[in-house]
Amino acid sequence: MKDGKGTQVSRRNFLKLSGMTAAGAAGVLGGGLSGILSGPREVFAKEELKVGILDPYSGPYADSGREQTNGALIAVDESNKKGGVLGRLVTTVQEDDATNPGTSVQKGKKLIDEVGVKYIVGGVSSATGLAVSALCQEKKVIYMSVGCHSDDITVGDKAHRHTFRPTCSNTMLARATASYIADKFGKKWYFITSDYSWGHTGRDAFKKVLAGKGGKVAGEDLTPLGTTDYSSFLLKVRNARPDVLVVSLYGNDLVSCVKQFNQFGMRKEMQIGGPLNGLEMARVIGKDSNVGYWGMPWDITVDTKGSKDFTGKYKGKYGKVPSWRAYLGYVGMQQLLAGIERAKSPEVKKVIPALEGAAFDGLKANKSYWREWDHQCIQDTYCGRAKSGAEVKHVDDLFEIVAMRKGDDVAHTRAENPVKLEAL
Amino acid sequence: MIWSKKDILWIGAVAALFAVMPPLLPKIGSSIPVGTEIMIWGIFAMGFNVLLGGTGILSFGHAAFFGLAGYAMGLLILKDRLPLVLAIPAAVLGAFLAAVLIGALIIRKRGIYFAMLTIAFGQMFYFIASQWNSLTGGLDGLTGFKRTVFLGFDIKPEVNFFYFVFGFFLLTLLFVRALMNSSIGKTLVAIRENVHRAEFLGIDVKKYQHFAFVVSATFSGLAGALYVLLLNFAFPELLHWKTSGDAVLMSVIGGMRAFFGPLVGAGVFVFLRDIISTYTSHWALPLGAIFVVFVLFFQKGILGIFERGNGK
Amino acid sequence: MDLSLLLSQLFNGIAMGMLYVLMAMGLTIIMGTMGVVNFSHGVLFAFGAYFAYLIAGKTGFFGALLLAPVVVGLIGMVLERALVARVYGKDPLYGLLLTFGLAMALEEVIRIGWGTAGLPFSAPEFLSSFIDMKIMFYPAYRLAVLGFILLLIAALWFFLERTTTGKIVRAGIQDSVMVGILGVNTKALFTGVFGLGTFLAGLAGVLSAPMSGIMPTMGDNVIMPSFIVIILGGVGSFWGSVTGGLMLGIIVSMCVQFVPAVAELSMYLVMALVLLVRPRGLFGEEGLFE
Repeated sequence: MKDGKGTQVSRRNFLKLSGMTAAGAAGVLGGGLSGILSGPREVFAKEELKVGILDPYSGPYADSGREQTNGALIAVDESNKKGGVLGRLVTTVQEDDATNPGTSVQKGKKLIDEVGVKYIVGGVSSATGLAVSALCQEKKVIYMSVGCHSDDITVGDKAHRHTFRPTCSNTMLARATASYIADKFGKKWYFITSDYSWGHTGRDAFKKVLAGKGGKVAGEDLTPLGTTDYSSFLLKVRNARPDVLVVSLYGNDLVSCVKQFNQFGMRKEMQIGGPLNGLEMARVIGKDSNVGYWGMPWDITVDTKGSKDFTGKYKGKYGKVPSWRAYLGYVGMQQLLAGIERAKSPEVKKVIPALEGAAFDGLKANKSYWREWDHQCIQDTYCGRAKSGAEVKHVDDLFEIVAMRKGDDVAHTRAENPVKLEAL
Repeated sequence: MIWSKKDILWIGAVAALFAVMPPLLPKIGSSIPVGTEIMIWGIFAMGFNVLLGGTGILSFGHAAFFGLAGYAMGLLILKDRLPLVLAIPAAVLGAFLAAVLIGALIIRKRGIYFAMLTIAFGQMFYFIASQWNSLTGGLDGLTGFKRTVFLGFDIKPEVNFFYFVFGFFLLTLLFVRALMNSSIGKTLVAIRENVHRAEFLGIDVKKYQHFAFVVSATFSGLAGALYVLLLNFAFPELLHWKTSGDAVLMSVIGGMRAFFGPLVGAGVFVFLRDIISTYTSHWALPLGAIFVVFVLFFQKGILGIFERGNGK
Repeated sequence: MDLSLLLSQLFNGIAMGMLYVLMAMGLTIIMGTMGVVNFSHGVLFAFGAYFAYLIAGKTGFFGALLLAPVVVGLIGMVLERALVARVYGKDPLYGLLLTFGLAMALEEVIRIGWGTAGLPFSAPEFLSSFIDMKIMFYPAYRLAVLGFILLLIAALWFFLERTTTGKIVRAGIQDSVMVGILGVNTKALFTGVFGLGTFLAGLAGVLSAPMSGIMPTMGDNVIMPSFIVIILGGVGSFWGSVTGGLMLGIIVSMCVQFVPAVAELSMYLVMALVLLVRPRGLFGEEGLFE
């Protein structure tokens, strides 16, 4: 019945033959079509300068990822209007890291191995930032870790020579925000922390400032990234009766927590704050629930001509006001291109020294600069107060800057950061 | 001979195809690591399919072994603790032992309950990895290690690593083919076709099912260890039931009953994930839709389309 | 240990559990009647929330509460006729695989239709406050949801126990073949059951939207707990779903209170223990899936 004779067997074999060919074809298919559909690489390579953009377009930090990329693209437009960098037009290849370090490494490898970029710009989740930083060091590619705030991107043994950090570190944010909160609201704090590097270093930075002021920790909890229900945690917080609830949360997590903070009536009982908050989240939180004191790398209300120009450009291109994510994307990309221009060469080995130590106009009151021993961008850091209800005059009027600290005053000192970046 | 002439021919052909990939891939704009990845997923899926297609048991938890060996690999070569030549077998052994233990515990359950148990164990591993920050790096993943040298052979360059993985790939093809040709393999198929009849024939069904579970898990472990070496990075998603789902996807789409089926599935999967994702981030839609279509109409998968009436 | 905190956590656990109960009810009648493990239940839960967002714009919260689940139920019935019905009678694993692929594709449809970011959604104004009873204190909306689901459970019970259609459904859960032999139109029964199950999932989605927000991955967070509940309570059992849901909610909130690190782990540990020791769960029927 199964093992027939003569013609049946050979027919089966023929079918199997085609089957096996399909198997082999699959191997080539997977690898080959990838290249064919990505388009010819060599044809205009000499005329273009390719930069990879790796940001989250899905997952809990998707909104911020989009904003960051949008900002970066403005910098690309500006550059190309002036004829590009070293006479070459800048093109970008964008990949989604899904707010997930595993994906970020896979996509990073794709950008480096397949597309052949020598520079990657982007990153929101510090988990992805750390992973991509390690990858870029190994592959000798420059990484502008645009929006990753965890201290360890530029501190200690996870910092790398090929990585630069355009945004503030958690410590900078904490020092700008925490001291303000401690002085104003009281020194008994409860911590809800996103359970990964950024959350941990954010909480630790706030704790340090608190300890320095003689405050105490009323309690703390870790929540996994992607948690939507904070009710059980908020009940614990309420019971502990702290002066301030410090939430080292971001994206959808921050939105859910702040909304539930309001729903549980805790606004009357205590203040809330944390290392980061921004327009994308405040819009979803809604103006009635918007509350707290937050670290911010930038805001539309920063009163400099540069900021106003940027806000105008962004509004012109995207029809809405930029968040500080967009600002960071802009600065990160802009400074990478400026570095290449200064180095007069696209070679990574030459661009890195051209960036180290360079000062530039970061659209803030004081100039920003790339500190050469840790690649941290030293810049003005802000504390913003969330506005709500009647004081919100228009749909984007969601934050007000209440404090500003200069970068040198709040960043890690040499003594605090034993980092030794690798040789080139 | 445990391999027929045809087996050698086909395995040889596929091997030859992969062997010449490295110089070809960059010429058509792709890259060598993509080829390496297809082989690694191929090892995962083909090993997994010994359980699914070969023995008829669905597990949604094989990522637990994939990830366990992956993390073990990272931890063992971190700070140059162990040379690769010892670390790889050690990592795979870890997956093997875990499968022996877990398998013994859960194999007596059938069908849906078994599948749910595999999910439960997989998720437990996932949450342990996500939260044991000091050991695994938690949600940040494990960095600080990289592949270096295997018995003097430098596998840092992508092309060298490709051929390194190729060796394991070839071994997997040969082993799985030999297994399914052997009397053990035929017994597994008999169990798949009719468990009760196999029992009446005096076969110790549970023992064979456990065996299939352990073998498939061991290959999942091998794939996981190699994958972590490819990325120089280990992270919790490697353990998630969705990663297990990937192996299921590959086997079903490629063809559970065909030897090269899972490999075809791996190729399709990498193609859809890597290529389509450049154009749209919504690649999960065509992938999910294709999967649905195959589950409903082409239960024998892509290769099954070429083999009609050959089900049993 | 503060008594009022303990009570609040217990109560919160019960409230969380109620949503699980709703999800589990839908899952269990589908699984019990047709033997299909509906992996797409989570994404249909999400669809409930997304449709609510769409509809609430025109009709407000209560309009959305009424209509969104109906839309989801209808979609469920279409999916059942077109796809799910084809795997009836086959190995239950086919149903699992089918709905797994469906879930994957449908979640992507959400992203395509509504974007990858979260959407804002608020509870009705009069429920946006919280209630402070000295012994315990809780947001009004969550209290309302708790009450609403209790009413719904009562209504479902009445339907299943006291109406003819309900009895047919129960009979179908017990033995769908027999029911067909007795002359019931099983095709219609199955479609109806699937519609009802998915209706409940959509309803859970609408209810949860103001609490946890709306995002494409919201289904992923509830699908596994829902399975754990029906395994705990027993597949096909009404009271099993209720008890299982409550137990799971309480276990999780107690863990968060006392041993937060194992809160998620504990769910799967419970699942594994039940499956190993008493697979049919608390109230399930023996041999349903063994």
